Amino acid sequence: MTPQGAMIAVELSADQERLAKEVSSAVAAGAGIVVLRGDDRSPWQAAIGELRRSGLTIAVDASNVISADVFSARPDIACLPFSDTDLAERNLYIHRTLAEMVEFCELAMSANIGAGGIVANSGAAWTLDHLWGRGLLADPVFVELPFAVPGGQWAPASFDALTYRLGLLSAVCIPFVSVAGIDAVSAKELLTLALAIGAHVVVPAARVEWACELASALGRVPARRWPPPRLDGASANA
Amino acid sequence: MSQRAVVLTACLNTYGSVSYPATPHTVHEIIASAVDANASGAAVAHIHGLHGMDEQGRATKPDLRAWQAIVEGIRRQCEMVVQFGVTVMDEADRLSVLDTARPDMMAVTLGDVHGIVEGKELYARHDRGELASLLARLREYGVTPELEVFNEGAIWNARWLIEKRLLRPRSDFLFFTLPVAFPGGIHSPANLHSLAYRSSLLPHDSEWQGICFVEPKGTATPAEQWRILAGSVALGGHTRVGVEDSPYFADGADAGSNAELVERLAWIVRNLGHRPAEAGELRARLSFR
Repeated sequence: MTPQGAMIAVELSADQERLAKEVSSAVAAGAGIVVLRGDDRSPWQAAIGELRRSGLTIAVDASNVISADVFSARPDIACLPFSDTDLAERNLYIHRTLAEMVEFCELAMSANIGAGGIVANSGAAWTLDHLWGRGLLADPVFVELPFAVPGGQWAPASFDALTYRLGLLSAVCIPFVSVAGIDAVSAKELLTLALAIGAHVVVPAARVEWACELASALGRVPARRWPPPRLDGASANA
Repeated sequence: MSQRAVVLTACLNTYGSVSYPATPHTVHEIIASAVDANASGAAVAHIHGLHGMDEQGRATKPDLRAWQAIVEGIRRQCEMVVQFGVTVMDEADRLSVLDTARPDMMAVTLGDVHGIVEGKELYARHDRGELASLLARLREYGVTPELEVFNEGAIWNARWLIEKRLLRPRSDFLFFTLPVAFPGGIHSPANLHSLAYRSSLLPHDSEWQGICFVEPKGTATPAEQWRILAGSVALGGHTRVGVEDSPYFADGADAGSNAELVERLAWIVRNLGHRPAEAGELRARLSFR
């Protein structure tokens, strides 16, 4: 395995005042992608222009927003969870039909926006493969792999869980690992392991510098351009 | 590992349009199939009682008298543990078969079911509130849950239930089912890594079985299924076989009955140096009060 440039994606807050500061510090630290999450149009839609000037690749996590809003904002990548959402801390359940996911991918394709996905478990990996098999996703596919999120999409922040999930992904996927509770030792360990075996990471703004320094120390200079270099070995056999 | 008593479950039937020569259809056929499977080494009969059917051949409301007659018929003839498969039924139907027929065990899926059956999406929501009330009802009746774990999120739910004292390791008989090869959003790949990984996350003092669905219902081939079943035993678990999961001895070779499939599985268990658990000894371990 020859791990190459690690791509650090920064998860931005939904607070518009903080967002601008976070973007500039993320750029300075070495982030390559911003991941915008939010329940409604603002503030991330208003910030798209500013983000464009930053040169960062823009990915929007459309877990909780209306699909049409996502595409009208014209991010580079739009992501949908390829499974139902079950977040215990917010007591939030969202059922996502296969038809909804198909429509999302078709909209992304027609808008020339890269469709990506959140693969929280093995079933989501099956769905991703299914969508790929129907020609609804384009190579490469941005894939976020969340860990330690309380609720029905939980998986432990462990090396076993990481390699198991990575082993489910096809070669067209570019895996980004995220961990809930970033300050826990287990979370930092998992992100370190992810970088060590060739995956990429998504971290909150306050942790971008930490992740970039860590990636560099592991011989993986942070990559700025999407897609990052192809990796041989981000797999269960790493 | 020393010789173990391996629990073999016979999943005797299912509903829907997929049917095989070995599928029992009537109350009498299901009872007879259970008794034969027990004689071949199965300690548990996993059954789907009879349902009404709509014009498209989809199951509608459960025929409660038939569910009850099946339980009573099996109990009259053998000690087999009767386990209800109710995963895709809605909450009201699950409670009605439980209240009426009182099985020994009943399937409880620890999370939502989002699969593809015969090309159609199948969705059954099992949120934590519903899980809590169902387990309370099972405990009231002394019916042991068969806890289905399609992915790691289900294990988070199991831990949540333990925290709420709705599942009690050590005093309860905690029996988990780890399915592989069910297509859709609950899919896990048909490999032993999938079973080994999920089983490593289960609470201490619990038992588990690996099960595998074969095409066209599942994504595995018959040969893959037999490797999963044998592998489950070799990994320290229990396992199940029957026409609900697959009617095949091997690629392209149909079994004539559920009993023949159980017999083959029992042979594998003995060949590994273990033995099939007797229904009576499993019954003595069931505890959910």
